[in-house]
Amino acid sequence: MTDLNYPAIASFVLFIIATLFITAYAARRTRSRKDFYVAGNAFGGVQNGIAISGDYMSAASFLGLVGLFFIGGYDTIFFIVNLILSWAVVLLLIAEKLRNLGSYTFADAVSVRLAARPLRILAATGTLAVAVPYLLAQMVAAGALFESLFGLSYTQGVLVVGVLMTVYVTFGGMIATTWVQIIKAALLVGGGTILAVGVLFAFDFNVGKLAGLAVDAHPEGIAIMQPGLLYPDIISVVSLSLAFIGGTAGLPHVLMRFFTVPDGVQARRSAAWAMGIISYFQLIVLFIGLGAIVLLTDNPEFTSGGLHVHGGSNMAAIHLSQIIGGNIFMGFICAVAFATILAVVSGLMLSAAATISHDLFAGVIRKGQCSDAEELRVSRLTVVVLSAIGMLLAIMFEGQNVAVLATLPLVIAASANFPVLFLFMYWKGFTTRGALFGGYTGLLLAVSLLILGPNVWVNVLGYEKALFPYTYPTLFSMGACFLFAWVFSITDNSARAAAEADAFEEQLRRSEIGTRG
Amino acid sequence: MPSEQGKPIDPAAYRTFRRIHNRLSWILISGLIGLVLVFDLLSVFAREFMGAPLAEGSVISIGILIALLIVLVILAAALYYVLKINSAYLDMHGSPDDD
Repeated sequence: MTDLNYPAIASFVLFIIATLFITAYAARRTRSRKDFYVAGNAFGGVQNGIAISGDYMSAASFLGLVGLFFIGGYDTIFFIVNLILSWAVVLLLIAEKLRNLGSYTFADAVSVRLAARPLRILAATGTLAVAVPYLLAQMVAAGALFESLFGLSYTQGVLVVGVLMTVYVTFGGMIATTWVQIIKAALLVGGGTILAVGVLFAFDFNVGKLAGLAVDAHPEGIAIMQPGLLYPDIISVVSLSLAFIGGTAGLPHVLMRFFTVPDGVQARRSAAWAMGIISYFQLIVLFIGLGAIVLLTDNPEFTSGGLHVHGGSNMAAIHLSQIIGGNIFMGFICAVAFATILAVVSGLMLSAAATISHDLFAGVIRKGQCSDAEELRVSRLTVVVLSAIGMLLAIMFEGQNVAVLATLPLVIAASANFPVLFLFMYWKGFTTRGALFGGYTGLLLAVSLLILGPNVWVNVLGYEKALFPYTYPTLFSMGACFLFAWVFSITDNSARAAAEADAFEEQLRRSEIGTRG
Repeated sequence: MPSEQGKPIDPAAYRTFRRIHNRLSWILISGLIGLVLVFDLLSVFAREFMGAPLAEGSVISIGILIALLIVLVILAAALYYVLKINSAYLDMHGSPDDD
């Protein structure tokens, strides 16, 4: 695919024009830090739910999951079931309480009862540890895709994505970012639906026939309908489950979205809508994956034999779209993939900028003594600086295997952010000391075990055998975070710990009905 | 006791809301996590059962059907929770609060 793809270029340019118009509209409405960070709490539950689904469904949710099903069949269902369960956790345990306790970042919520400064530093560390690798992985992928489809160089591709992201966030803040997410979610779900219906149409809407042909075509045969191809042991499966369950509820750019609605009722509606849209999308991926197996396996136009798809298994959905709808439809799907990357990096950038300007600058450095206008200026400056760093890093990482970076965010969010947030919301005995020891232990252990695991130690560093055998270390890193948080909380006999316990009842009341003080 | 909207909330209504909210959240989330954990365990330790075809001549396995049923249960539980708790919340506040 070295020729220019004009349908893809046209679709993408239309998306950019529409989103820049929205950014111009949003810029006129973004006057305060509340507008910039959380769109003035003005979005309704349905709008926010669609935007959350847009924030959450990255290119990995689409291209990656189809590619994974293409290779591993049944075991992809672990991802789908746990991902949908993770949204139940967000809905039932986190969304409403977070909305009622916080203002702009999840550190605001935790600071209601625990010591603000050290907790803001912990939250900022956790947020940046999630956002930076995620951002980098998306930008490297964008550069590579631009190169292969739009006829631009890798560097030009990174610059296009970086500059657009900077414009959306700097000028339009959360209002523009939310509308970009809403448009992108609609395009992604629409494109996925057309592709799934196209696959079903090609097989007379007979799912049994489609599945039978997939089994016949796949080198693993009937094994693709049975567990065990990707995750053969219980520790891998449980670690994967925990990465999703805790990871989703600990992703800062997703958590931040719950502050864009006016109250707990809308927060619940947001989570429910997001859950419904994401679940629908994950389920249609199954049909797309089956179609990819039947139509791509051993197809000489798109593979070099068997499952070796040109461009890697992540390109399976793109190739399938060409078979189903020709060049025009493939162009549209490519543009949707770029829009997805662009929207996700914008959300990540906003959460990273918020934690630096609000948690670190205003909360830690200025100890809360910072005017609205000054914080807004710092936020915008942070976006520009972070974008420049992101573009520079993405250019430096050209050609590097950054797929590993995609597993980092969920594991870190599940191992550091989620346990702290969960224990803070539900355990009276949780103290600042417990939060700090638990949070930093989970964070360090998650990063260390990921480096020692097969993704980095073998695939990136080239060693023969990993020092830590599991791809997802969440069972250990999240477990350690909970354990340290518990031990260092129950052994904390300080006056501050007693005061924090006394403040729990008021926190609980506020988290349930939104009473401020 | 004022709400975020500044309206007074009857302490008895708040206690009722809290009881319903806590009970429903924990029952549902425990059940759903338990369901998925059982699915995970069966997929690892009872592979033959989970990989067995649904019917003679079918290639779709029992495990895939169970997974789809679990997804439906999770969605139904979420919908029930939102309707029930939002209704209880609005009852506590005593006024509508729609989109």
